[in-house]
This record gives sequence, structure tokens and C-alpha cells, in this order.
Amino acid sequence: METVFRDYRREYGNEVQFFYVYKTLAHPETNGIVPPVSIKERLLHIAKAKTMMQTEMAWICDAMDNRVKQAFGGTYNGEFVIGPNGKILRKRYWSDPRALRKDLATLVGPLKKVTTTNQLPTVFTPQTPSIANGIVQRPALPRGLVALKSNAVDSNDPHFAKLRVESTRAVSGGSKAPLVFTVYLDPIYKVHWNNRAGKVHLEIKPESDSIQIADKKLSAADVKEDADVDPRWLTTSIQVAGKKRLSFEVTLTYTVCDDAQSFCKKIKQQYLVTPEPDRNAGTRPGIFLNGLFKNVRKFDTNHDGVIVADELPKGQKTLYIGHLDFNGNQKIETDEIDRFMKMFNDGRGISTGNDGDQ
Amino acid sequence: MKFRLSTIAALLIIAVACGQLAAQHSDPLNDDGEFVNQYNKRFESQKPLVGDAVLDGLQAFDEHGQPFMFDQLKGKHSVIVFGCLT
Repeated sequence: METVFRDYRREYGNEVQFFYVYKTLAHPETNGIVPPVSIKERLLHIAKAKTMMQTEMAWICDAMDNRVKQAFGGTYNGEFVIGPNGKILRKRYWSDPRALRKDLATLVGPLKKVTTTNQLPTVFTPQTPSIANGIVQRPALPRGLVALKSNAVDSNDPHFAKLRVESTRAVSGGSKAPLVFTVYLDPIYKVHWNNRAGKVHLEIKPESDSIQIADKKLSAADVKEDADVDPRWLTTSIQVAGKKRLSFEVTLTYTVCDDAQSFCKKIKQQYLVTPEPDRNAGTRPGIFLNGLFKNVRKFDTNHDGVIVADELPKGQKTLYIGHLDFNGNQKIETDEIDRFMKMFNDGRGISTGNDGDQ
Repeated sequence: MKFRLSTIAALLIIAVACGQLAAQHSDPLNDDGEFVNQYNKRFESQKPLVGDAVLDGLQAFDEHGQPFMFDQLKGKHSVIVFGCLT
């Protein structure tokens, strides 16, 4: 996308405007990144994205109610060309810079010179945190988990840790269902758990007796290391009687220190959770690891360490090359697979192979 | 005449096939994309549709946190791409 933008900016000035829209995360947990709870945090993500992607395109930040995403059809990686009259001329569920080039050649004009991705500045690769990670065992999670609607209550302190609440669709039907809380440290704040100061605690207060929670006080498992950045998992079960929309309050207590060792702080923050699936919460990347990409190396049928399009299954070439081909040469190299897997494993603890995939 | 028509038809088929092969050879992903196309086709029939106005009254924030009105995009072509850190 960056090459298309730069080419049209160079040859057509501001005749065509390019914008990224920052919206809810498609795959929270990737690179240890967790969903922001405020516009201020979304803007921090935009600043980080601009650095990571080395992009000069302007960004628009969606509101916390995700109105822009919904107005454009709820797409996670969509692409739209809008005409000068404000009407949609082209739309795609998945952004496709090659197709966009063809569209713009027709709608705006052809290019004299085309930039390739290897002519762009090197994309920044995030560093692995220096604090221990990958040490906490992720429990085997129930299959078919979906995120529930959850809102962070305003707090005087930043939300150093973020809560993701999940259950199965059975919760909407009144059946007893698992209730899984994952507590992530937000890497934006460069903090770590202080395990000597105690465990992560949750206290759950349902709005009424119609919401039955098996254990209303939960503590995360012990961690032997003094400090780490892995998520914490706490599980219980829930049953909701009646169809009235009810919620429950979760109080999260934890102690964090910043990586520069300038402060340690005990934090208490609240979340309001409604036991309904949240269509804006994205999917955790476990589904990708287990379902699609875990065995990608097997496609290297001639064992030369490089996977070319002809070696990939029909109908999935775009899928694999689109996700794994970081250097844009339309081949998948071993170091690109390693980089991709690292993206999905850093900050996720140790996976047992069942990550609550749908 | 019958022979000549069938010959022309056969030549046309070969020409189209050769064109497709040439396109595939120059771009290994051109003959593919079923995965992406499935989503794109389904998305085509979902609102907002091509031809719909989407900018009116829509408001968010610019990258500095200032209010951003989508109406201001009118008057030029705009490319809007959805993205995030993950």
C-alpha cells in the first residue's frame, strides 16, 4: 500500500488522498499487542504503527464505538476508493494493493514509474522484551470461545493490564458456559508483573442473581520468577437466566513495575462485562497457528528452504504469501516463517496447543 | 464455411488460453485468490454498496486526536484502508 501511496503522491500530488483507518485489533495477542481502552491509547498504537510500518500515509483513528468500521461494513482489512462526490467507487474486504493500482490507473491516471516494496525503508521489527516471557503455561482452553462485550471503567492510572473476557455462545442461550479471563500487560506501557508483590486477582459482582458465577473471587497461578510479562488466565463458569440484558462488574487487582525500574504500583481497576459476543473484539491468533500456519513448512516440497506459489495449495496462495511474504518477493523464506511464528507467540505464554479456537 | 468457423473458434480458445497462461506466468498469484475472492464477493453484496454515500456526518479523529470529519474528503478521490497493529 505504501508504494501505491508514494507513487500517486509523487505523480499526482494531492489529487488522490490516502488514509489508514485505525480500528479495533483483528488479532489481539499478536506481538503481545492488546486492545486499547481509550482514544489516547489508540493514538499511541497509531504512532507505533507508523514507526513499525515506516509509513508516511495519514491515519484516521476510529471512535471507541467503532462507528467508522461499522459504517464501512465491519471489515477488518478492507479497502475503499471514494469518488470526489463522496460515493464508493471500489470496495474490497481485503486490501489488495495490486488491484488498487489497476483501479487508480483507471480512475485517476496511469503512473510513469512504479515503486517496489524493496525500494522502501526497512520495516521495523519489534524487539523481544528483556523481561522473562514465555514462562507461564497457558491452560487448555475450551473450544469455541468468543469475546464478551467488556468496557474498562475510567481510572486515574493507565490500564497497564487489560482484561479480555470470553465464553462460548452457550452463554447467550442460558446454558452453563465456561468463563475465561485473560489479563494481558499492555506492551505500550513497558511494564512487567511484580510477582513478589502478589498474584493477579479478580473479583466478580453480578448485577443480579440472574447471573450465576461459580467462583466470584479468582487468583492467577503462582509464578516463580520475580518478574515476567506473560498473560494470566483465570477461569470459572457462568449461567445467565432470562433474556434481560444484564452485566457484571469485574475488579482487577495487580502490581506492575516499569521496565526502567522507576516505579512499582498496585493497581485496582474495574470492567463492566455484558455476557454477549462482541463483534469488534477480533479473534486471538491461536486459530491461525493451529489451523492454517502451523504446518506451512510442509509445502516446501523440494526442500530448498523457499516456498514458491506453485508449491502452495490452490486457492490459498494469496493467503499464505499475503501473510508471510514480508519482503514482497512473492516467495516464503524460512526466516519469514520464523518471524511470523514469533509474532504470534511473543507475550502469549506457553501454549498447550488448544487456545480456545473456534 | 463450417470448417472455417470451427477453426476460428478453436484458434480463439487457444488464444484466450495462451493469454491466461502468459498472465499466470508473469504473475504467479493471478490464477489464484480464491480465498480472498470468496470474502470479496460476499462483501460486494453487503452494505455499503458501490455507489453508496458513506462520508456524510461521519466523524472520528485524526492521528493527533483532533476531530476528523469525513465530509472533508469530498472533492478528490480518496483511498481508505483499514488497518491496525495486528
